[in-house]
Amino acid sequence: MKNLLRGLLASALLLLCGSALYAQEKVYIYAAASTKEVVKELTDSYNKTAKVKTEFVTVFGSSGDLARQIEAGADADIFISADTKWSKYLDEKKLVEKGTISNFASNALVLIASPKAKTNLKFPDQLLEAIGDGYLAMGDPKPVPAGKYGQEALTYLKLWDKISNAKKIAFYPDVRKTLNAVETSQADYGIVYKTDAQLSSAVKVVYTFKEKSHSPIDYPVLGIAGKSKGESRAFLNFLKKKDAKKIREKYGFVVK
Amino acid sequence: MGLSAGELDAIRLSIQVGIWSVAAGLIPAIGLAYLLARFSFRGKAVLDAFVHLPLVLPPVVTGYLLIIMLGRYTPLGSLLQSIGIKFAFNWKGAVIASLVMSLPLMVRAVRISIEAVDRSLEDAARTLGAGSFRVFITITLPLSVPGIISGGILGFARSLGEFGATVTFVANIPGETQTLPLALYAYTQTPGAEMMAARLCAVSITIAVAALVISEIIARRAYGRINR
Repeated sequence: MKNLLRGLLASALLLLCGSALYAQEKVYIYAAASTKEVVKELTDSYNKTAKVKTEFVTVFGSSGDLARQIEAGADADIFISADTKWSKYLDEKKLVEKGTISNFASNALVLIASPKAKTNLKFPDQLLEAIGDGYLAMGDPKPVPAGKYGQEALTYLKLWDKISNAKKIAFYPDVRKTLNAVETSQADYGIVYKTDAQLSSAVKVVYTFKEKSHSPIDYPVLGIAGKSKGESRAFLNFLKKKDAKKIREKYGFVVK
Repeated sequence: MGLSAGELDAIRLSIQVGIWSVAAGLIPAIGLAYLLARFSFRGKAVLDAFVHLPLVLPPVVTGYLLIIMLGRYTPLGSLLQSIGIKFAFNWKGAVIASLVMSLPLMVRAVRISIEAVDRSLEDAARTLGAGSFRVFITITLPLSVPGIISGGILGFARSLGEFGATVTFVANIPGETQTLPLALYAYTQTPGAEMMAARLCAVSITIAVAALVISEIIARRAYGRINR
């Protein structure tokens, strides 16, 4: 038992020293929840090719929460927002390093069906009939970007008034909770990003909303003012490379 | 202050959910507290842990477990639906979420009170021929009133602040399941809605403080009676 403890302690120390050797300085990335998987792979891939390894600390959450934390002085170097509204918000507060704002990726909006829901109807025209006794889950349009796009798309299809007047919509505070509600069949249908739908094997995509039916779903990436360390600049440049674009496309994002 | 209709809805709903979850939860809480305070039986530790689970689990997980147990397509959920009780996406579901979250606090408060009741008084009643139920109703219960009151108020306060389990179980539907914390959260997620968020924050504090003051007054009266 004692030996085991010693061994564990020794390896823990070794790990600590080991990582300290590689890590020059930590880069803090604050990113929208829907980019969790792709950001992880991007930082890994960056460290595989870069001469100097960088230690990335990633913080994921709703874009609004993260933007407010950055405004309050959180130690962020890079911010990836799921909505241009929050990058503009930070820009107005003079928190964006000049010339660092660019397009991280774009996304599409899809209608998904739960494992128990009917999928053999004509979507989106028969959505209201398909919902029947059930519910449509989506982000809350005011605060959640995915909800805002969803409302725009349903309005474009002339379905919004019908479905919302019938009280058939359940609003969630973020996309992942929306996805979860459909996965568990609590809601029969849901509106989420294509990239989120791709992550779940339980739900089925029954319709992809046309691009012109909602405002563009752009994820801006930016450096935080006064925080432009060499490493965070290097990572922002890395995002513009071909390999980095491919990784984003693999997860279903569109890189413009 | 000029609150909007949506905000008034959220306030009314919060109070409604809070009152219902205390009303529906207090009797089971008293039963559980009595069981845990006065009896030893097999599986007592398990029951104790189960009651306290919502206190230690992340609320979102509790909400998820509620979907798994009472969701629309689960056996229990379908059974309840067939007799007309529907929790999915309406205020009754919000009551269930709040009730589960506040039950451990109510049980704890009542249990401490019951444990503090002088057993010799119960024994005296028994020697005079009272059965267990009569002892409970005429001796134990009245002497535990302060704990029951503080448990009820704690439960009500917990319901007012409930967010995670509610939003996971019944989502955020204005006028139906959007309680104060949910409305507040939506405002903090909207750029430029800081004033509205601050306003609802002030309302929440007012309701919470009022509830605490009322409970303090009632509890003092109850103590006064017991000690007379």
